[in-house]
Amino acid sequence: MKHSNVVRHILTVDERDSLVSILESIKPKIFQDRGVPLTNLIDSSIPVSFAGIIKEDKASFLGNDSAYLESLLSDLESIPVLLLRAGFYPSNLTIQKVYAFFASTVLDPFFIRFEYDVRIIGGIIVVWKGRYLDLTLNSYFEAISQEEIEPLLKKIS
Amino acid sequence: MNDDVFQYYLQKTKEVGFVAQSVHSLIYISGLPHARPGELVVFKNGGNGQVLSLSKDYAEVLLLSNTQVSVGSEVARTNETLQVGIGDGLLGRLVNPLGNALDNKGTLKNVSPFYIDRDPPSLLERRPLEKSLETGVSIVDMVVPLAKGQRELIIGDRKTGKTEFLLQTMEYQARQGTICIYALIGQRMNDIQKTHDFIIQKKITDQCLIIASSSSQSAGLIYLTPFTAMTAAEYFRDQGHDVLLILDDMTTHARVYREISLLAKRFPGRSSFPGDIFFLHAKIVERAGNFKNGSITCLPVAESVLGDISGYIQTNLMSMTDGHIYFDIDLYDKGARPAVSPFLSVTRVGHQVQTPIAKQASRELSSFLVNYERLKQFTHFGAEVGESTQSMLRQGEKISRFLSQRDDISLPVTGSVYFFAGILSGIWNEDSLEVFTGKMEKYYKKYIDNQTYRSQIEQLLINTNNFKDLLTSLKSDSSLIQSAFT
Repeated sequence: MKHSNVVRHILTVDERDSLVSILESIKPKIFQDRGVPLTNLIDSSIPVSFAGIIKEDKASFLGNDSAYLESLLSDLESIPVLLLRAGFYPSNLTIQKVYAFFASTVLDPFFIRFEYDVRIIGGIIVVWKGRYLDLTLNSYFEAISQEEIEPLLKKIS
Repeated sequence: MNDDVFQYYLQKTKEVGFVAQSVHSLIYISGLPHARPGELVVFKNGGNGQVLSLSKDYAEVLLLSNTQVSVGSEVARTNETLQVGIGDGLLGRLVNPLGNALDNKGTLKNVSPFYIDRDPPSLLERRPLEKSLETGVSIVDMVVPLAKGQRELIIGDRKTGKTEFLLQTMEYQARQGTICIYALIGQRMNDIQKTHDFIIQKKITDQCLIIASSSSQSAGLIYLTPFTAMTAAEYFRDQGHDVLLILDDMTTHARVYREISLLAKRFPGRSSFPGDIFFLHAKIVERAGNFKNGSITCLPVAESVLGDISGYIQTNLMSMTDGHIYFDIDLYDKGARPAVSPFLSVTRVGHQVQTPIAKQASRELSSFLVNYERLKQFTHFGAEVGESTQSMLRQGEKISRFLSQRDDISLPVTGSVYFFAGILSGIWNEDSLEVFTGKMEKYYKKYIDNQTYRSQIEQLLINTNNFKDLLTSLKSDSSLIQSAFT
């Protein structure tokens, strides 16, 4: 990973996708170094939250502007995605908390993709590198047998 | 329903993948860390596919359904290799290669799942060919006879009567108690329906089944057709039946496999076919043969172009079968029905199961046809010929007429041998071709309809030592054969 500084600042797939689309749009402008210098394009096109980091990253990169962009794009595309499916729309704070939680167990860098699923009562579904983990209340309820439900219902009534 | 199936497998295998790329019938899937080649996968939208190969990032999946698969859609593993429902419930039915009914007669009953991609049986499980397989077509039964368990290629241009011959053989064999499986590989839906109508119309549904994929279906489904058909044949063989399996046609199968291989970026070989096309077809055809419980007679079909039988797939199939029956477009244009070329057709094992008298008759007929052809070419130049040559030419015309047979008349080989002996003995030498044809039709009718008459001829052939004796006896007393015309 050559650009871990940039990658570290991105948490979600949506952030990654918007940065990738900006980088893709400025790529033709610096074609073969005969266009506008990358530093100028960073200031004019990239959001301020990323501009400083990318400038720093570029300064430490050995190679021309287009090689830098190719390398950064390649790194961004290669990062695996952690898919989280839940029955609610998460806030930024929730995303940060969830990211921090998974980052403590997953060593490799990753991006989070949050998906809203109306059928999920509670809990979450996690998909990581093809592995599917159902931690929802739905699966918990389905696992409860009829024999276990009846005494519970009696207790409530 | 589709979602239920998907969720079931998702919960069972705990693995999910996402479609990364879709190239016609090939789907590249990321995820599915424990997928293995040959495994069946299900798509969230209801489709299914089979894992072809695995790379570091993707599983390459062959789509088996006609569903649209979009990039990003979810896929679940099944942890199962592709299995198809096979059983007695298939008889009389028209099904696709996944065992789903196509004939509006409801779902199949009395079937169990079977793996369709199996290795051919070993040498120790095989037995020598013992019984003959009659087609009811005189030229084939006499010149290129077939044996039960033989693999015989049916080759010829389009519209040369291959299908008519195959349907006639299927009907004849079904009436003899053989289980007949007709596999239509990537054919038109109209042709599939016609074949199904044929078995219904001929009332042979108890003995026949059709496994079909239409040209509009996914390449994966067309690719699987011969595998499913062969698995069904193996099932009925294991039940103790003799099975006739028709694979119509293998050139289409090869074309579909080429399409899949090129899309999968496999290295193209001769005529852009992949290098393992021979292996693939041999692996299917090798599953036929004669076994302890029963036999599988396999008739793969190959289409030639402009009479060229030296094409890549055609010669491949020739080399993995025990002979070929060639349908000649020139003979067809001259009016020969069936247009089987006696000179370019080959049977490598069929003669060994013939009765001695049928074998001698077959040798006589082949030799006569060669001499007759030479003579015809000679007289073509306007050469004057003697009385004996003229007599031979007249006899040749009668034999040609005898070998031209309507596709609704199937004659047992004993009937053909006896009638051929009648022509060769010269008892109808003085008859004109029209009179002869009339007699021939009367003979066919009596032989097929009259059980006593048929038994008399069969007994006579059993009691006769050799073909020459039969000719001699016919010359001295032709009352039995002549009784058909009274």
